[in-house]
Amino acid sequence: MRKALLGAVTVAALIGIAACNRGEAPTPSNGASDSASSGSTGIIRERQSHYKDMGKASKAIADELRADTPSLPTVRENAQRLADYAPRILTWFPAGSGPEAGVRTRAKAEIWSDQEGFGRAAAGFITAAEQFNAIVKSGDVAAIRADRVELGKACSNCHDRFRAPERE
Amino acid sequence: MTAPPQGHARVRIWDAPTRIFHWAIALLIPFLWWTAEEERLDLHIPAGLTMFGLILFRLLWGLVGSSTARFVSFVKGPWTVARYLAGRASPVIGHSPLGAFSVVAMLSALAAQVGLGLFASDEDGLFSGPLAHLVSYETSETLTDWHDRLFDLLLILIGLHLAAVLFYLIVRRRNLVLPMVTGAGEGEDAAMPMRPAPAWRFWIAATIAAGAALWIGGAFA
Ligand code: HEM
Ligand code: HEM
Repeated sequence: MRKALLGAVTVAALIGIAACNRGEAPTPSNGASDSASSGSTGIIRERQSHYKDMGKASKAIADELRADTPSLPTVRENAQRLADYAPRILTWFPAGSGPEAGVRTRAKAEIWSDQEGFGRAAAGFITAAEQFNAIVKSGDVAAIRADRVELGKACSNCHDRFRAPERE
Repeated sequence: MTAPPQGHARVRIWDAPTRIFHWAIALLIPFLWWTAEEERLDLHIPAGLTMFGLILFRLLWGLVGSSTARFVSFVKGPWTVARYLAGRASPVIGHSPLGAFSVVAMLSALAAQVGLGLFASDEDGLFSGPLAHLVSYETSETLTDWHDRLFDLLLILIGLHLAAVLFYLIVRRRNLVLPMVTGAGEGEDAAMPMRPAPAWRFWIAATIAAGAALWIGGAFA
């Protein structure tokens, strides 16, 4: 009886904590005026739409690789898209397009305070995307499946350090 | 042996499958929350599929299980709920007419949560529910959003459920937790006793639920 009660209270407390955590105020940049810097606004919107495009390409690849016999042309097309995007990433983050821009962006200030680290993450992704693209061209489905995991790590490697969560 | 107090005897209230289901989801929900929050989707997705199997089992058990687990036995109309609140309902074993409301609300929300999860994916397209490949990137994003928001509703329903359990414990001096652990509790003589379901029904329902979870998860691919 005590134990059961303790269990119920623990669950209640956990849920309370969960609810509190989720109720926090949105990030400061959220909803701030767009007019602060219209140049950065365009830059931020554009890079976000490029990233969405990369997310789409990544899902398209994952969807195919789930199937017993993936459509290789679809995988090839999307792997090429990622490889084309990779070297452009570093040009998407000019000074002033960070959290201070006054637009909703999940780009963290660390991108500019640790430019070397950010550059390394971007370079790692270029290598990973090229390698993936080469393996996709080989047509070996098992190898493609295995290397997709490595490619995903290159995305996460940057996101973990330089991208703020969707919701805090 | 002394006779139990008049009008109350120790009777079976919940069968083992219903209790195991209950405590399994009570453990899994915090785990699902934690793995989602920490972006451990490698753990969240298998745990979510386990949840899918559990919910499917509970829905089947609500049709063919022991009497106190069946929806027809505890889902009552608003008049019965009103009579119950006025203290004039006939005695029952199992969910009270009001408690049944909360059970139905929680099971529906969980079923919807699990259903949305099957189509959810992370925005980077790295991890996805086993059915996310059937919908576009945008649709999957929207469903993931709902999956995220519905969880808030789920937390509210669970909060009400726990508040009600505490209310019974403190105000009504009735422990509802213990019967959910041991299966037995005080019953009123006038109430219909629990009619247990035969074990073969459990095995069929459990096999269907586990099979469906494994199949959706791609184990037979
Ligand atoms: C295939 C690999 C990658 C995928 C699939 C991907 C996908 C995405 C997606 C979907 C977003 C959200 C866009 C939105 O706001 O809707 C995003 C944002 C972001 N990503 Fe990536 N990404 C990848 C690689 C990288 C790499 C290598 C870096 C760093 C070198 C990076 C840094 C960022 C940053 C800083 C943001 C926030 C941008 C902003 O809100 O202004 N990503 N990414
Ligand atoms: C009752 C069961 C479930 C609960 C309570 C639950 C809870 C959650 C929560 C709270 C989130 C949002 C996390 C955030 O705010 O970032 C989430 C995300 C997610 N869940 Fe579930 N989930 C359940 C079942 C499932 C199932 C069955 C699947 C698929 C098999 C699934 C797959 C996902 C995916 C792919 C995400 C996206 C994470 C992201 O956007 O990074 N979930 N879940």
